[in-house]
Amino acid sequence: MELFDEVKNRYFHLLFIIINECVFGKTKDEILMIIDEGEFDQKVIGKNQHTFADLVLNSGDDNHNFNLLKQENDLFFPCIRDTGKNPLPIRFTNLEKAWLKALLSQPGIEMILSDETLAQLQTILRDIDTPIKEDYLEMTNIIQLPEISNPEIYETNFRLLLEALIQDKPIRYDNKDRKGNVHKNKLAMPVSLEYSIRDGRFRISMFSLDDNRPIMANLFTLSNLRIVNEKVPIDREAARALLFEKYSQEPIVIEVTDKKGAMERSFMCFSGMERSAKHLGNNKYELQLHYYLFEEENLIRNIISLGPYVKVTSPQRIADEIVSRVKKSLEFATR
Amino acid sequence: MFNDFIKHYNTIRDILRDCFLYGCFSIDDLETKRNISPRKVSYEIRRIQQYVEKKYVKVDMDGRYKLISLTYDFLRHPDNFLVNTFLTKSFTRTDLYLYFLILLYLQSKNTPCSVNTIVDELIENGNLNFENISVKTIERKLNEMSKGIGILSCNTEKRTKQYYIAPDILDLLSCDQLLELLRAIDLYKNILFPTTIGYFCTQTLQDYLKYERNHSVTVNLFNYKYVHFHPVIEEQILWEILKAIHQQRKIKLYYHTAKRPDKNSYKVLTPYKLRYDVRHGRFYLISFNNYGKCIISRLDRIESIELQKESFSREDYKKNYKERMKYTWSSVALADGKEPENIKIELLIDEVSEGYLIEKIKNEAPGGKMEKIEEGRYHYSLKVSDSGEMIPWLRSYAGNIRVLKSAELAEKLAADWKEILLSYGVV
Repeated sequence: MELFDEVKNRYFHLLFIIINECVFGKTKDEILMIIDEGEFDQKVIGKNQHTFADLVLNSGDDNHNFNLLKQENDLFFPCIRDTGKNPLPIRFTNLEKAWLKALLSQPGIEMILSDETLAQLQTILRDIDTPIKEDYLEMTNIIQLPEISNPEIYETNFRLLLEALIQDKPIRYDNKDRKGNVHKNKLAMPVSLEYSIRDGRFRISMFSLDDNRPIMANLFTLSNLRIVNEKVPIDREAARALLFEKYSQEPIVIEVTDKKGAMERSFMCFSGMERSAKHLGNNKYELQLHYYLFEEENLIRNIISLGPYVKVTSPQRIADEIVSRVKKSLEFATR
Repeated sequence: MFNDFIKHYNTIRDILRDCFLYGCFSIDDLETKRNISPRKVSYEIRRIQQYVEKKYVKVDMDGRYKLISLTYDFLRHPDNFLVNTFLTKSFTRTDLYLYFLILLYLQSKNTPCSVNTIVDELIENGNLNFENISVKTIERKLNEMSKGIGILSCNTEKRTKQYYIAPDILDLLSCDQLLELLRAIDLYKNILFPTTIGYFCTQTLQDYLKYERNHSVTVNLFNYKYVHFHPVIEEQILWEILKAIHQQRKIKLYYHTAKRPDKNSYKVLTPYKLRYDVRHGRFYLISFNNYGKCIISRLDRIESIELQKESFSREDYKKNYKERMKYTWSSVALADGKEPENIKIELLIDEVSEGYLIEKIKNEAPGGKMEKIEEGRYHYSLKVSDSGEMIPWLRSYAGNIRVLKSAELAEKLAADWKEILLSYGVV
């Protein structure tokens, strides 16, 4: 099976939903509502000017209608039914089974799947041949962190935090910070487990109820971690929303001169940020980057790393910081 | 049957990349950049606006020109919306009708059925009109659904193929186990390439939970750092290459350069490995030509792949790959007859506030040796295939780093510093 395949077309899926939903009969309006939710904003129109809804509801000409539903009084049913099963089966495709097989050998999978589930899935997929293998794809520009000295703590904390997220409950914990200070019995609302593809580590993003601010912590520095039933003034969604407030008031504006691939590198580097761009002419482009305040240091490093053809034009504070660092580097280099 | 869909993903690939990565080109700009007609550009932009959810599409005006861009914020939107562009392959009415009719029919049967049984009964019940669809077409569809897609299974009894719905591999898993699996898929769907398939798996399992277990669920537990969305645009090519590597078959690769994006040339190559630069979100294919020369190709510049009959043994290229890429920072292979460069950098830090940089550097440039010279001064030595590749990384430590070796690299970096200051009007 190809990756780009018609059975994965959005409208195939839409029709699958309609047929399965019609098992006990649906009215025209109910079907139209399903179509409305699932189709493109602008309706697709066939060559004979019929809409997808016309063809599903057999209101076009007979040679073009899908004829997969039949109408009985006011209700539509699948054209073949009464089997005691869903009208359409749901199965993983060969492509999906190949990916699932690769999933089972991913580092960290045992933290999410129980031993029993993992063993069962390995048995189910044992005969699947997959081209997705670690040996065929190498990650570069990654960060190789030292091995975690106590992986059991990391794994136990991961499972506990995942459970807290699923249950939408707060946690209490002790934490040792970078300077070695221990913070005891802290209360926080977990927001999400964050995975870094560069270093392959999970961290926990949470809202500290003691300090009333969003924080990020390494899983292996947490101890005495437990889910608590305490009443807290905030749920996970509200805590997440507070994280979004840590957004810069003004964007960083950079000017990129398209020399030596600077434009492509810059746009790729910042592709995960909310941004807008403008062609200034003369081979120059302006890029406005909106960013989270806790990302500012990373952003400055990234901008400098892009070299001489990328310049911050606003805010002046960031431009000054870059100039100061580069001046220091030049002094250092010519010492 | 609907014009909004496309037969080949390549139809939108370049323009989708331009809209997503840059978002600063008008239709006229794209026409010049891609050397295609304005009509074609307009068509593809219209398609992209259809395929991608409205909230990610931004329309800006630059004078009288309309600029379409696709933008998102990694924290608010951990799901890759570009995957939707893979849900757009065109189909005919017969494709769609037969696919669902066969599934409906076989799902209603408890025993395997031959093509003749299927056809006879469907005609008898008025579901099929023999004048419009031939037995051969139905046979082809059954074959595709069993061998290709895998939603059907097929046994041969007395030289007759018998088709039935593929066994339900999830049948013995409890609802809790399925939820565990859903979470695992949800996490790895942005990490394990090709990620598009992970998204397909999420949808299938959610459908399964809803219709087979009566359990509607969405997962929203994970966030990602350094996950780029744009590499998904190259995943069809990635998938073709992975299959070729796995089958140990040579490929004919149609490729264009950065300078001539509209002109393709081809080479027959032995695909050995893919490399993914996590920082920029770029895929590279490392392959060898018939003379054993190492060829590096960016996937975003590969137009298409053709699988060749000629096979190869991966084992034959293992040593060559290791020699060429052992000290490679990202994608530049060690040149013929060259030795890796020995690099030494000096790190100057405030031990109290910047002490963490020592470990950071060791982690980001692994394999080197760190020496403490005195309080706040360290030397770090390492080998690289081509030091030019590490310049962006060195620049990111502006204010803390200088190059001691090689002199050539030190000069390049110093020249960069001067040029940066010049651009800010400082010197």
